[in-house]
Amino acid sequence: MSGPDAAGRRVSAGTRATVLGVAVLVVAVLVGMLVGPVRIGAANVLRWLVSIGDPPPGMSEQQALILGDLRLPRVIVAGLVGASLAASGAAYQAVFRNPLADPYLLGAAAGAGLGATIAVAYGPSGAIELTVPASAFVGALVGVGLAYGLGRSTLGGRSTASLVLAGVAVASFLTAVQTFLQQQRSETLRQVYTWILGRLGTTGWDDVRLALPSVVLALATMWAVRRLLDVIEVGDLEARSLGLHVARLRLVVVIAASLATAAAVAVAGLIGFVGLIIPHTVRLMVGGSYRSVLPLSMLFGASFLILVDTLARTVVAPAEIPIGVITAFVGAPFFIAVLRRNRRAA
Amino acid sequence: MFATEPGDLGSSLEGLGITALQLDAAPNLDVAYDQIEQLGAATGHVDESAALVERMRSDIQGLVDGADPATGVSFYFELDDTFYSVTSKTFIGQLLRMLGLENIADAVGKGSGGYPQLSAEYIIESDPDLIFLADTRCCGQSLETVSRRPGWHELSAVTRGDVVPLNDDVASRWGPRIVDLLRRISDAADSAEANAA
Repeated sequence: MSGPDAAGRRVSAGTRATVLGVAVLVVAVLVGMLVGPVRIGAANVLRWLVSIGDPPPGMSEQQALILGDLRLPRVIVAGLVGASLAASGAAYQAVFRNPLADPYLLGAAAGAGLGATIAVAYGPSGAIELTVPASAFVGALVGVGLAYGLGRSTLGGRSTASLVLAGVAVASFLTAVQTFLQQQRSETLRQVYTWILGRLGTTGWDDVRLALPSVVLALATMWAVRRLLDVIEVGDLEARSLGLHVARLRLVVVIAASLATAAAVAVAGLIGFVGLIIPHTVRLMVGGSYRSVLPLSMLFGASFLILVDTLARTVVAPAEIPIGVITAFVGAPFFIAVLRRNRRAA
Repeated sequence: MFATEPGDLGSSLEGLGITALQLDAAPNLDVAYDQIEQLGAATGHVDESAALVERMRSDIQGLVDGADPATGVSFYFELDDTFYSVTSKTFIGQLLRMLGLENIADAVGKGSGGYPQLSAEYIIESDPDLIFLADTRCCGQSLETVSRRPGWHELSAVTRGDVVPLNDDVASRWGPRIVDLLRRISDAADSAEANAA
């Protein structure tokens, strides 16, 4: 009678991890709101949060502005981006059955880079803060669309390898076009690169509005099919024999993950490592089932990026460190520590 | 003439029999003056370059003398729209300090190389009297785009209109046109002081 027992333990481990994930997210949001280059008393911040943005007596207009217009949208965007990258990474790893798959695998990053470059070089200069993310968003989707189309048609593939190869080819091509345009308009170089390095430093409610609909739609889709990811990971043949429409499911998951990645790249630039380390860390915590891995990746991805962004704006305050630098700097040793601990426990 | 030596450019040109002059980015005004004179000597315009340096010296001295060192007018100098700025250790930063202006980026400690990326929260808290935009060409910035940024519409410099667009190229070069740039900055400082009063 070990079956129900084992299932019971698995459910409780998953539940415990979910409770932990929610708790960590709450703590991360609080830390993100309380800590910053400008010191605002903890009691005042908490009162401001509880009264939903109504400045308590004793808080300056400036402090209320910093909390409401800068810190809160930045925490929300960091959370959305972290959740998107981690969940997309997990989803790509499932449908491509490749533990090294990351959200930028299918040309989303290269497409976004090209989109941003076109907006900087040829777009109207007056509204660049809106045209660049919007164009990057479209570019990311076009990049993935091209890779998917090429992988399916030209390389004749239903196999995952042909898709990945198409992704590599499309990414190289789009990057070449981007480099050519930058050579033509060398004055765009600096702006494109600061954008690529990560833009959470300029985040506001416009970014929340841009990212939120796509992220919610994409995460809800991935969450809805999380059980099927367990089946697809076994193998295309096996999944098909179980009655699953593998190609259609893969397409749905790729669209959802790419939508989330495009939204993340559009508002935050390229932030590496999150899509790899978060899903793998979650797997080490709760095992390989996507029923747990996907939702927990969202929770821990959001918390991770909120905390890392808090570091980015406080470690050398009043200056900032590009967030991508810290995700790798903190992420790599953290990941190694988790791996080591896990090996010792096993 | 070249400003950056990637390794063997000078020796290669020499090997080809091409006369070359290396003029690195000037860290301060004195080096900039020296370089103008070197360039004059190399191109056979010794007198003209000496006269140019003399005119620059006296123009800049005039602007510095005319500046009130105790105005306490603070400024934020923007290099791009992700808030990269300059401290007083840089060439342009030194010029601004000569006019008695207070640079909000100087609060950043060592290690930024003189070009720190400032946090938006800090800029809002500092509420500078003046904002100089050296990103009008690269990044299309203006009073209008600055006032649309989250939280920036309440800044004193924005509400009073003391946001000064500069030519990015002139602001990052150490040539004679730096005098025109300084004059523009000096005028803006005077008007910001009057607006703040």
